[in-house]
Amino acid sequence: MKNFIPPFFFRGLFVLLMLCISYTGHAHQMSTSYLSMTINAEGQIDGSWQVRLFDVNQKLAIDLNQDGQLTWSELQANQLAIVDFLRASLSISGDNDCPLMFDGTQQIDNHFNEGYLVSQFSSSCQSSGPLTINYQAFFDIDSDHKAIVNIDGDQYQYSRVISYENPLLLVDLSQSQWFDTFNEYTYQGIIHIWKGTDHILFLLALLLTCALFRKNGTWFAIAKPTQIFRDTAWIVTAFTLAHTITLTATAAGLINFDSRWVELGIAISVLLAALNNVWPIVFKLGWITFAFGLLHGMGFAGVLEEVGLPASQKLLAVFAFNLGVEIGQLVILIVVLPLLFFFSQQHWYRRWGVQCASLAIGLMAIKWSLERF
Amino acid sequence: MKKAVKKLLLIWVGVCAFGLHLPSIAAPYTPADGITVVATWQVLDNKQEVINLKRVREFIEQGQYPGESDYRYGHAKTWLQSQLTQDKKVSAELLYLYARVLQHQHQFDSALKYLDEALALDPKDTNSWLLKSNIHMVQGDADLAKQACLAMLGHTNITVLTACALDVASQDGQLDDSYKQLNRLSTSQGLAKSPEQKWIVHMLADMALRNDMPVAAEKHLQSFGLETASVSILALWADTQLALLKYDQVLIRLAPIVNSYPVKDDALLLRLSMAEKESSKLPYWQNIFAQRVALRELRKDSLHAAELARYYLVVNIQPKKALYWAEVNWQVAKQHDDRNLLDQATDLWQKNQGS
Repeated sequence: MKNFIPPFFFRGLFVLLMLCISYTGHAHQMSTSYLSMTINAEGQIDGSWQVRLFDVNQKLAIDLNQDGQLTWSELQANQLAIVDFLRASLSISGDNDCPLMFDGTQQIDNHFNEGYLVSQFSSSCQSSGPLTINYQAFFDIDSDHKAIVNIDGDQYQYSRVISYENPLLLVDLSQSQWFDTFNEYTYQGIIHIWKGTDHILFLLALLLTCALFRKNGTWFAIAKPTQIFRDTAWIVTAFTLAHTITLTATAAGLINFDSRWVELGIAISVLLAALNNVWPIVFKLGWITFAFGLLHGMGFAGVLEEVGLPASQKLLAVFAFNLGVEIGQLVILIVVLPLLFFFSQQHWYRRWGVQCASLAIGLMAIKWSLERF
Repeated sequence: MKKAVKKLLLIWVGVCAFGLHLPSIAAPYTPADGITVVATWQVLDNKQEVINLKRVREFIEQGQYPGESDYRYGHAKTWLQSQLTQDKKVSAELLYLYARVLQHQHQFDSALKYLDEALALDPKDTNSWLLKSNIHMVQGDADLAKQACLAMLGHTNITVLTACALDVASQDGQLDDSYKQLNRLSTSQGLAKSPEQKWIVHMLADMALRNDMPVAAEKHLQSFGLETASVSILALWADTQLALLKYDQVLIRLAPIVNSYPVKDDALLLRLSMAEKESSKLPYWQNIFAQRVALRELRKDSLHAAELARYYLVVNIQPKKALYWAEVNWQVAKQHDDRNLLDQATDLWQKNQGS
């Protein structure tokens, strides 16, 4: 009987060879470290910090023979220097500084085909308020370095990314995560209304005439501040109600419109609001505000998606974001309303000030419309 | 015997696939002995070298080439920031170089701020005006971009000024005319030996590809040697080859260049993955880029949002992620290609919703 090597043997060998070749490729990655901690209610911290060995070598020259191949013995020879470096690069403080105790035992791990040093540490950190984690490792040699931080508490867990731009992390032991979420998203809401020029200009276009009334084709100043306040409150409420509805619905996935048309619609809403000041057609501003506010809410939702929603606290995050938007709006109102009341008393403002400001807003809106189309 | 060999092979294939295919899932371990190699890398610069403005200028120039970007820009930024935080007068060049680094990292508003400071010190600096124009274009502000070009009037030659203005016009709805005019400019002015030649040819190739003329783009790019080309030229060349359906060319010519560096650029990994996917080859580059994408997402690196969006559009099709990253990209970059990316991602998402 002849020796027979079955065809599948060669196929199998070929597959094996291809697999081995295909999967042995790897690429040097971005400078990243991984920091994990558990923190209990008594302030006991137990953590693990994984730093890329290439980065450690950049700081401490642990590759003693500089051959590009770091051995375990070379690493062990630099153990004390490494621990000193780690201790100097990470600090946790509460009411006082909390010294970190690094375990003498180190290990190796692998992330994305790169070798990492694993160091365990612990600390006891009593605090009446939030703990501050101050991370400074490797930023002086690579401003692109980031630390992926995972924190487990008794009642919460969350992930954060520490970067050169944001080296500090606040961890509040006394409050549950819902408060962190609420604070963070309220803050994001405030920031995003202040950064949203189109939203601000829409509001401004509506408010330019809040202290005026129209009669026989001419603007006149409203004498009673209470009436100004009531009219403004109605406009702002309508805007708030409308964008809350669509922001929540979009964030919940109930509606989903093409962001391109939403952005174009927002630009057109600003244009129409501005033009209505020059050629007034709609006098019941509350309804037009509500209608366009629905569009603006969808625009906010797009921004909210970029920030990201925590899976377990979506509703809270959306509510907090909405609240942030409201607070941001109110601040704008507090600044702008007294000025508009003052201007409304000036003849020049009623005669051509409103029109000029509206046309300027309108031109900006036309530019956006063309860009977004 | 046949069954035993078959069984052995299957087990071996399984072990290989399992053992080699899990790059990021590991548990900490203690090496058995001191000679165990725990990490390897390519030895880069001598760490003892002196960093000064001249060296940083070189870093930034070198950062445009494959495998150098992260390392070079990271070092440059650190040194430049240390100079800026010191309480002393800084030069226009230092401010310009810092703006270059910020532009590379997509921190466009900050870059513009430093450019304005640089131009306040040296209003005739052509590089600063060109960078300013470029950033305004990326932000979708053609008017300011054009103003930056015109501000160079009297400080630079007419070729540079014209090319700058045509580049802006090409992003502002006049692509075809701009391409034709720039083409005439490059052939009529005898630019063959001028320092601006490569820059203009790069621009021509980019315009040609955007104008759906990949054959013309390929012809323009023939003047560049791929082995010594920058990442942007290589990416443009790869896009041209992909448009011409020459997937194998991308793999054959680009792969060795990328493989010769330990650090592999996202833009080139993406193109290799796309070519590999289209040519139905074994997923070597796709796996490498998948790891890169996973790490970018873990780090929330929005800088590479455009690459991530294209990855999820073409290579690892996930409509929701494609749309998310396309929208993240659109927040900071509003050029023609960024709009196209957003439109494609939106279309894919809507089709996916409808199906």
